[in-house]
Amino acid sequence: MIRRMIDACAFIGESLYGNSVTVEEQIAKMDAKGIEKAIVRPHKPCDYNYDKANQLLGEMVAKYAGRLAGFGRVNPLEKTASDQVAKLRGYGLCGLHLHPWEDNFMINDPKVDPTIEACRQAGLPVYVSTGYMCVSEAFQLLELAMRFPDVTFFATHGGQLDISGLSFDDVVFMAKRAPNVKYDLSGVYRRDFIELLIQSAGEDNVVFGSCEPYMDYGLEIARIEAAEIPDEWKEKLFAANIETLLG
Amino acid sequence: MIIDFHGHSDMYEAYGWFDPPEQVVRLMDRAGIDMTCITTYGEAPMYPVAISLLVDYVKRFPDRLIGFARIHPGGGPDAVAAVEEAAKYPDQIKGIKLHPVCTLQKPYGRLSVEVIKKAAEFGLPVFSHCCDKVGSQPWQVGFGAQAVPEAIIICHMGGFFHGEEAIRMAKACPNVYLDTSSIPYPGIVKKAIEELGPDRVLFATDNPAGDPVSDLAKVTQLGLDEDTLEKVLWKNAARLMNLKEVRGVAV
Repeated sequence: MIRRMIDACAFIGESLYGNSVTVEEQIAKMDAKGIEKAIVRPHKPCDYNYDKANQLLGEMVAKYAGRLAGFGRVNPLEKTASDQVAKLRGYGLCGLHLHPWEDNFMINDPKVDPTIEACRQAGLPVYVSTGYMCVSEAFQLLELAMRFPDVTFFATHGGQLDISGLSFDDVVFMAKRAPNVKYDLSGVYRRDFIELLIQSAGEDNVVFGSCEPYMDYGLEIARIEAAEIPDEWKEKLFAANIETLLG
Repeated sequence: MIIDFHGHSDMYEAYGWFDPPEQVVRLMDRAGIDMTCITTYGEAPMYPVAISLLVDYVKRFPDRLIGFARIHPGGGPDAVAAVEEAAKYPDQIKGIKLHPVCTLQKPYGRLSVEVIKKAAEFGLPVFSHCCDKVGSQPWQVGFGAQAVPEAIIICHMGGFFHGEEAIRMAKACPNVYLDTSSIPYPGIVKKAIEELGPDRVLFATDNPAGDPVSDLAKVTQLGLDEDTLEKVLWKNAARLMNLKEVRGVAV
């Protein structure tokens, strides 16, 4: 069976962390795994200039229209962060990705609010690298999501990065408390948590997002395929949900 | 032949985790795994049934399950006595499990070291949780291993952030072995095998928490040569536990 797959989260471009990915390499990886489309965002660039990286990403997305869509990035601690958000639509990008771990801020810090407000006004969803200790643990994202109930947030890693399994209940609580938070499954190796998260958030609110190149396409796909859930849910996870959620 | 070095079975009200051994075996069958080492979620001596439950679970599936008794070092002399109790069941229990995140007892701490020493006296390998959280970070396990060099210590590969650190730690601690479960990076698993050699990495899935099917694929798709793959998938585990047979087949 050929399954439609849309990757909701991949990073491309030059990376401060040495894991740069060219747009051609990204397309080749997608082709190798049969992935129809990916929503890409810039790596943290070596010059720290997100506005330039967002503009460049917009050009890549335009070049590969149909295969790529793009989310921009900003550092909310920068005074121009809101202005940078306001430019995203003009660059052809359709959302914002925040990475509190890489940019050294707490996701629930009120200093982040102007950036989120700018997204709210522009109608942009906000994807958050979630589960990182001290800066983006589940209840930190929950606090922000409750402050902005009409903004759609996506949490990477199913909202937690804890192999002990002792953070699952925080995410289950968040899923019930904040319907404006959606989840990707990147790095969620726990079979039981995939099923628990879907039960808690609903099968319409969980998406396939790989977090390539930090994670591995083969394993990310294999884990969802192996999950003991109805096949129609897998269809939703792999493609339909992200299409619906991004309109 | 495939031996999964790390799994769980318990009906543990305190966490709301209910994983009977039948569930573990069903998932093993789904992936084609022959035997799995299981541990409870609760720890002896605080969880008084930890050892008796484990023995019962293994007796239900004697050719499929191997017990690792989960011990809370905070029990002090009673924890050491629990290791002695576990050693009375050599057919069912072949190792000890420590989970410092749950017990708040760091592996290099005095009480944990006493437990590890007692396990080593009985020739029981000790599996320690190893992840990103304080208590179970790689060097917290590593210094515990260095305190008891005669012990065999097996641990996870460091969770989401500590993979490289776990490999460096294991290189410095020759009595430490790494398992392949609970880490979403095939590249780190391959690097561990390359840097530690094929004898010091063991296949594991964390069944039924982890998914045996995709975790097995994570290892079989690394492009390992046949000899290395056999060592990782079962020979290393059989050696560390001194197994004489697996599902009726002499090894």
